[in-house]
Parts: sequence; C-alpha cells; structure tokens
Amino acid sequence: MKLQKLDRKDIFLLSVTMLFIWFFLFYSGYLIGLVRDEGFYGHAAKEMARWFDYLFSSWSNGELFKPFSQPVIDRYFRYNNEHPAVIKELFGFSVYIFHNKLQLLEFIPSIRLVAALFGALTAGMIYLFGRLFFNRETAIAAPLLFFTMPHIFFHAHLACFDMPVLFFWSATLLFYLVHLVKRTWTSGITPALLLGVGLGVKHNMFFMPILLLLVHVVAYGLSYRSLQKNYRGFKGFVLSVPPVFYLFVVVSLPLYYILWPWLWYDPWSRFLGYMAFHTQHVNYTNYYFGQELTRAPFPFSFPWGMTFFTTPLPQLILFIAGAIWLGIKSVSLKIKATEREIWLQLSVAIFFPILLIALPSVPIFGGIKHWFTGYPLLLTVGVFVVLHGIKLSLPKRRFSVGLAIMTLALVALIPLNIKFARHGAAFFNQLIGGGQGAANSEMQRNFWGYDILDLTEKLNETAPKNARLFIAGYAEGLNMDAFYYLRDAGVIRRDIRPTNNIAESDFAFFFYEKQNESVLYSIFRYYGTVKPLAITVVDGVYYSGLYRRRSK
Amino acid sequence: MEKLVAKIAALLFVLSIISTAFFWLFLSDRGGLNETGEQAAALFISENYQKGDTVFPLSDWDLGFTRYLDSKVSFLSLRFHYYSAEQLKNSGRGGKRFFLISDKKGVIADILHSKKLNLLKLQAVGNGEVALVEPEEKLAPVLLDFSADIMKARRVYFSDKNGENVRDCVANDVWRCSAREWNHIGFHRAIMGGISQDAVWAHPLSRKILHIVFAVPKGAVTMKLNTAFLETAYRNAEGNPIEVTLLVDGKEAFTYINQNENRLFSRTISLPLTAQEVELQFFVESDGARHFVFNGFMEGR
Repeated sequence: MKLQKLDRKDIFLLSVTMLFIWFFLFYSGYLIGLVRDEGFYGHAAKEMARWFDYLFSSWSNGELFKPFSQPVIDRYFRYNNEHPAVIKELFGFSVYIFHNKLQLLEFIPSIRLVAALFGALTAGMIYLFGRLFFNRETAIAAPLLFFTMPHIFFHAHLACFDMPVLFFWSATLLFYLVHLVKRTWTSGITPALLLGVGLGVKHNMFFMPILLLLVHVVAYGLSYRSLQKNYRGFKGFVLSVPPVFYLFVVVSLPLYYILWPWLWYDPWSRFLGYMAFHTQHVNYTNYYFGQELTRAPFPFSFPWGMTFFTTPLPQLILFIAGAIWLGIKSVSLKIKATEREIWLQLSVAIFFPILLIALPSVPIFGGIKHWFTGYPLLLTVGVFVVLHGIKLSLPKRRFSVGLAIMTLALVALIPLNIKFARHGAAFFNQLIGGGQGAANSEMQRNFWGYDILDLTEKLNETAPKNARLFIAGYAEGLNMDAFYYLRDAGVIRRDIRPTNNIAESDFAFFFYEKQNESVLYSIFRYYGTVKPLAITVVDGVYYSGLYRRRSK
Repeated sequence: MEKLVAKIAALLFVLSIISTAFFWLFLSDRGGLNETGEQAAALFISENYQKGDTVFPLSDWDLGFTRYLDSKVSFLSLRFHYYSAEQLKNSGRGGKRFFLISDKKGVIADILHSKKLNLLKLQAVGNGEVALVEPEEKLAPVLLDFSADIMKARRVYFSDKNGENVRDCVANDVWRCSAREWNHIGFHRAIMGGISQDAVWAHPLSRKILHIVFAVPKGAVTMKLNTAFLETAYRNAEGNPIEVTLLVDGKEAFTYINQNENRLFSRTISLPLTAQEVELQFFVESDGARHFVFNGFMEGR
C-alpha cells in the first residue's frame, strides 16, 4: 500500500483548515456555558499556573530542582490527581502566560484556548488522514463535516480532556498506520510520542497499544500461510512485530511518567489509586427511551442508539458508509496482508470505545464524549466512500460535483447548528424527531449544567444586591468553582452569591434532567410559584429555567 | 461490492442532505403550543387556579406557557401519562383539581375516560387546548397526611438501636436534626413509584434509629405508609437498605426492609379503635447518600 504524497498545496490547505477551525472554535466560545467539569479543571489550571509561577521564580533564583521536589509536587499536583496532568499543565501554562503575565485573555478564554488548539490539531489530523490514505477532496471536506456535528462543536469548546484524548487516540492510530506502511524505526517515533503524551491526557489511551498488538497478532495469524519462511514461528513473529511496539516501551512509558510529576514520588500506590478511581467509577444516570439507567446491566444498544440519534443524518450516513467499507476491506482477500491489517486495525480502534461502553457491566460515564474518539477517522473514511460513489455515478464531472455536494451538505447543516449552537449536548437528529421527538421518547435531554447563558441576563437585571442563587450543584448543575469563574468573567453579577440549599436561596437555576425533576418540585415548593423568570428553549423544548422566590 | 456500497452511500448522502435541510427548516418545531396558545393557556389557568390545584402539561417538555402564568400558580407536575386513574383520584383528595394542557385539539376528551376524570371547563388555545378537570370519584381529605402534616408530629428524634443517646430534632420550617443541611426531616416533593408525590425527606443516620411519632387523629381507622429511595440513592448498587418498622402504641405492627432499588414499598394496616400513637422507625447501617422519603396517611371510614 502506498501513501499519497503531500505537496505545497496540501501544506497550505492543512494550515488554512487548522487556522480556520482554531478561529471558529476560539471566537465562538462565548456561545457555550461553562460545564461543571470545567469548574474542576479550571481549579486545576490555577494550581498549575501557580506551579509555573513557582517554577520560573525558582529558576530565576538559581533553584533548578526545587520545583520538582516532593513537597512542591505534592502541593501543586495533588488536586484532581484522579486524572493525569498533561492537559491541566497546558491549561495552567496558558493561564500563566495569557491571563496572569500578558493579561491578554480572561481566565475562561485562557483555558479554552487549549481546547481550541486541540480542535485545530484534530482538524489537521483529519486532513492528514484523508490526504495520506485517500485523496485531497476527502481531506478538505472531512474536517468541516466533523466540526458541524453539534455534539462535537460543543465538546470542542470545553476545557476538558475529551477532545484532546480524541485527538491523541486518532492521531496515534493514524501515525501507527503510517508506520505499518513504512515499517521503519523513524516512522515509529511519532506514534510513540503521541501515545506517551496521550497517556498523560486520559486513561483511555492504555487500551491503544493493547489493541494494536492484538490486531497485529490476529492479522499475523490470518496471513500466516502466505508469510515468507523467516517470518514464521516464534522468532518470525517477533520479527514481524512493528518496531513501534519497542518504542512504546522505551519512549511512551517514560514520557508518560515524566509528564505526570504526581507519579514521581510513591509511584505505585499513586498509580493504583488513579486506576481504582476509574475502575470503580460511579455511573451517571441517563434516560434512554424512558428507561432510567442507574445500575448495571445497561442495555448493549445504549451507545449505538445514542450515536444513531445524536449524529446529524449526513454524518451518520458517512459513519455507516465508512463502517461498511472498512468491514469489506478488513476481510478482503484481494488486497495485500499489510493493507488488510491497516483496515482491520482502523476498524478495531474506531469501534473499540463504543463497544467498551456497550458492555452491560461498564458504567455510563456521560454522553457520547466517552466513545466519540473513533468518530473522526470513521467519518473521513465515509467521506471518501461517498465521494468515490459520486465519482462512479457521475464519471465525467468528477471532482467539482463531489465537493459541490459536500458544500451543499455543509449548508444544509447550518440551521441545526444555529439552533443548537448553545445547546450542543442536547442535539438529536430527525430520525428520532429532533429535540421534540427525543423528549417525547424520554431520552436524556441535556447534560452538565452549562445551559445558563440565556438566563443570566435576566438574573443580572432582576436580582437585588447580594441575592443568593441556587446553582443545583448536587443535581448536575454548576459546581462552585464554575460559578465563581462565571462571576469573575462578568457573566453573573459580582454580588450574587451561590448556594446549594434551595431553602435559603432567592433565585434558582434548574437544569432539566428527568432524574432531577424532584429538584424542580422543590423549587416550586420553596418559591411558591411555578412561573420562571426565564427559560431556555430550542424548538419549543424546555431545557433549563431561572426561578425567583415569590415575595410574600 | 465496494463500488455498489459507494454508489448507495452517495445516493443516501444526497437524500440525507435534502431531508436534513427540510426537517430543520420546516418540521423540527412542529409540536408544542404556539405563542398564542401559551399565552391563552396561561391566562385560563391563572384565572381559574385555586390553591392545591395541579397543572399537568401533557408534553413534559412543553413548558413555554409557564412564563405567562400568574405567580400565584404554585404547583405543576410532569409525567402525567405515568399516573393511573387511581393515583389521580388520590391526588385529587379534598377537592383538588387538575389543569391539562395539550398542543393538539381533541386529545383531552380521550384522556378523560381513560383516567376517570370529569371535565369542568375546556378552552381552545392557539393550536391546542386547556381543560380544568377533577377525579370522577371524590375522596374526603385524610385525617392526617404524613407529608403535609409532618410538622404536626409529636416528636422526631434519633437514638441508638438500644434506645440510648437520644437526640431530638427541633421544629422549624422542617425538623432540624443537626447543622448539616441534609440532616432534617421535612416536606419534599419526590418521584415515588414513577410519579411526583408529596413526601417527607427522612435521610437516616448510620446505625441510628430515626423515630417519627404522630398522634392518631380521632376516628382514624386505616393507616397507609409508602417508602422509597430517591434516584441518587438507589443508583449506588452498594448502598444499604433501610429497615422500616411501625409501632402502634409501642407495639410492633409491621417491619420490612426497603431494599436499595427503584421501587415503592407500601403497607396498609387497620388501626385499633383505641390507638393513640403511631411511631415510624427507620434504621440504616451506613447512611452514605441514603436519600430516603416516605409518605402516607391516616384516614377515617
């Protein structure tokens, strides 16, 4: 199998795509409210920014190693140690430079700058995959179609780990596939570095080398008969293992360790504590066709159904087309063993995250963000298949028709993206009837208490001085840190005080999630009215509300 | 094969573009009351609302009309379709009425029969309709309702299992049992048995018995008790069950285990004519997130 070559035009298009996506994401950040997890990671970013401050001041005093001593590491890296540090370090560095030192950005944009950066990197990675493995048209269309999925648009703004790990998952896979084609030590360096850094982003990445090796073993077994003699037997197998696996051990693991200073001291117990957090992770209740999913066993169909109904129809067709095409290629006997291994590898790595969540015993940690790591490459394959189909159907017109149809698709996606620009996590496609159909089917309506931007204007204009605001922290609402960041950013007036006790509050946010309806009833009871001051609505569907205690 | 797949995919993709544009431009907001309907429905409810009435939107998500309500409208309940006729009859005790709001005309008439409701008023509003209804069979108010009358309890306190280390809760807006906000016994609106119900928040403490003592009203002959965990409790598979005991004049009338699951546990007993006092007891080994509620009543003949 030969990879397509990049030329100057590609470098230009790649750069333009990345820049465009970065601008698109960074400058539309005001559309998306702060999700509760950003409260935690914002706090961690501040800790990291303090560490960078300490680091540079220590270095300027000639104390080169003090910032890496155990007391210092424990002090700055203890918070949120259930997640590795790479992204928090980047958030912190951005806060340190752009917010604290240069004062170019407010706090929230300074952490979301990193999110936009990963959006741009993801766009670039998709372009590269499309160009290297397929053609330029695919490379141009796929990133744009990827970011016009409302759930992706939403997550790409958040200062969280989900888009970064999506990037590292897909990019490691992409460069591993390149390595499979080239089979050189130098081509193994990039995937090894990506895996090392990716491990420092989120634990999902631990599955990657295991999957790669397993698929290699399967592919090796399937092609055993056609192998040359020196590749047979145990020695032959060792010889067949791509060099990158050795680099995973000598490059990726040390890099992971270096990037997470929390593990430097007492590494084993800290690593076990980290693993225990994730293996014993709580389930987040979700509604799925009226079923309240609180405890295992969860329906196998959950992530499949959610993908089916939360992906805009054009992209869903691309997913299905990509999946079928990959399935055919993965078992095709007409292609060479290496190429077959590439498609098989791609199929397994794309579908593994969704298969994992589909297992009845695996808790549901949240929405699609926990399995969308496979989306970008699957979508890209789908774009190629559809463009190929257009070329086959209209052979004389070719290139321009394909791109024209992709452009039409982007135009058709504008209305739904405008409607859900502020409510991306609430998007459902027309196969279930859109937002209304999903609400009628009692699907989880929204997530993570971010949906306040349509409410705060009324709050700020109405609330008396020092009013107390119920933020629903225990019911998937805002957390305290997120509240304070919003207040510091001027989104919520400075004198308004947060509380998680409805009884003592004057105003209340309510974020509709079916399992939290009792919170709404408590608001009615304590406030003596069901009349909201403001509500957020898309296509007539209620998502959240602002309530005020009725004066006696 | 690959070619066929590619051609079909291309065709479906083109169709999906047309379908997406059409749906999100013209169909996605097809349901729900229109603006005129929302305003008219809100006016109808505001003019006819009496304390104790419940507003039921037939679509749980269609709450736009609430913006136009008078602020005196104090209760709205979701999940109307979860309610059985029996549950509506009980919710309508003491002459309570319901407002039903639909985004389609003619829907409410069908519901009346299946839910055994009488129509008091019906009005077309915009693209939908709003009605004031009441249960066909009217039940007299109960003599003592555990949730509405929780502050009428004689005494609320915690003790060890052997009855020692008694700590009384203090009557305020709720029974306050410590400085911790959750450690109170008081009115709560909860989802029990799939529907929204008035209840009493009764989060127990580890290895302590929560005692709630009520005087038996004169003429009371039957007592009903419902207990349940809230979602935040039963989603934790490791959570402990709660042991529920009822004493009538100091003698055990029944005891059962409220398992840690999404289920309503109910018991009904006849009260002796001479009964003076009932005592509810709740015990749990470990109180972590044991969000527990109960309701019930004592009624006469």
